[in-house]
Amino acid sequence: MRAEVEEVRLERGVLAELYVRHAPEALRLAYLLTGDAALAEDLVQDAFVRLAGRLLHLRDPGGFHAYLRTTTVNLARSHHRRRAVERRYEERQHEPLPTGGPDVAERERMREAMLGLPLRQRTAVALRYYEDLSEAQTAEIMRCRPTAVRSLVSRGVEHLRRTLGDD
Amino acid sequence: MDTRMRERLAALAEDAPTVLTPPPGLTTRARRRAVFTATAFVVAVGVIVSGGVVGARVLTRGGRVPAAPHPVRPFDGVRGWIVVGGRQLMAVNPANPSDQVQLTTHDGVIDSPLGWSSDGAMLLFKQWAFSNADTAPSDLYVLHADGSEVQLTHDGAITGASFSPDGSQVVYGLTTGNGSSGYASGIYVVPSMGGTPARLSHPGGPVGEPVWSPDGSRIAYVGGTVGDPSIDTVAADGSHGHTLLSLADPGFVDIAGMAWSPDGSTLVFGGMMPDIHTSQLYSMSADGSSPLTQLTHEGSYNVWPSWSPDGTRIAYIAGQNLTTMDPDGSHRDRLTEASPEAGSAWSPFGA
Repeated sequence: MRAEVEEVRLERGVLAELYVRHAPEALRLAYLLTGDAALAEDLVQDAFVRLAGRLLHLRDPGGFHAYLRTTTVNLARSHHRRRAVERRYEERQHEPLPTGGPDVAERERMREAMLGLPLRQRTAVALRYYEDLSEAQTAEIMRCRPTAVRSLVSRGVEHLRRTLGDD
Repeated sequence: MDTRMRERLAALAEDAPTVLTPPPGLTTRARRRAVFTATAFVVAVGVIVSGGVVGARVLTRGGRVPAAPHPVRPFDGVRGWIVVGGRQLMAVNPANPSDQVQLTTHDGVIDSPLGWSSDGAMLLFKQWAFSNADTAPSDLYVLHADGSEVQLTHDGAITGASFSPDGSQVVYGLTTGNGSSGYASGIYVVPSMGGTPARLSHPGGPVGEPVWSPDGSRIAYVGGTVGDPSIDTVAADGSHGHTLLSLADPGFVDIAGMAWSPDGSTLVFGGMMPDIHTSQLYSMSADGSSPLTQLTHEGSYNVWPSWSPDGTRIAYIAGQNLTTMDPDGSHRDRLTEASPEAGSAWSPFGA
């Protein structure tokens, strides 16, 4: 990331530009992985703190956005491990569906379907079909082989279709 | 995956928050301080009347906390406690981790504790405010027991800081600049009450995590160059610098927190691997004579060590949990959830 580091000015206000440019996309990915807006905000804040503190040490030419995406996925995984997500999910099962028309209900069904996936399947689906990453790129972030990504996505999509009644 | 499923994912993503809670601007900050000052006065009157000490006890993690009145002289109640960062600074009682005290009432920022003065009267912290062009990436502050804050820096990114043993000075790492004109990355010393910083000499390159030795004679920090960082020490007057450890040998690209043991014999630090998502804690003798000892093995992200005042325990962040362990890495004890990036600082026991 040497080239981008050279372009990243740490002086007043410039980190804010990085934030404005990359945070919205990171928030959407974090939300797909957690289904929780507040938790997504926390994850992205933490991801920015981790990266901003180490801008001078990032040398991957993939750039800041790639690091941010990977950090967001890693933090979501860590959250999942400590079962906070599961607790929030279980609590949410008892909450009524939001009202506000068919679009809201449809999104809520999709959110619940995503949260019903194991985290690795959810991550693979989000990276492949929301972030539009290749199997190889997804595998690199998830630290697994591309064939594993293919399997995770296949099972994840199968589960989503079944849950959403698409079959 | 069919187009409809893609569209569903995209629609779901639109439910995500579009921007994080905006940090306060300078005007808001000034107003907050004015409100705080008035609040502190009112509460202080209440304390005098009641003869007690009011403390705002908040039982949630530092991430998202409800608004709460600022404790009066909060440090008196948190001696020997561990402060963690996040959206607020939170003091955690290691003997009863559910017992927590909120030390700050900031909005829309990330506060990271950096270290206490030896008498426990002042706490150094840095504040991140990403989406506010009016603020630097991270500014350095001193929080006093009465809740007042002194801002020590106004530009650049803080890369670590600590008090001198007598609390009169603060050493900090700062990176400013840009790609075209080059970076200015250095270690500075400034009076803890604020003033003109003096730059310590160093070999150049990115520097960070400066920590003052308990006897005040030396400052350890991360020096070297991009791609070849090292743990270096320098005398408090900037002379006699030398390298203790090349971080390239064990494969580290950076460290995530460094702390002297209270007796000054040992340095503990988080060694960060090139992916910046993997870090373990290591110890080494403060003169660099002994080989590295890896202290943590469980989990992939162990960072931000802080010694207990008596040197019998080390606090650190394991994943997203505040954890303590013996100095040899044994007897780990998970205390509470904590932001993985906002650090920890163990308060002196004090009188």
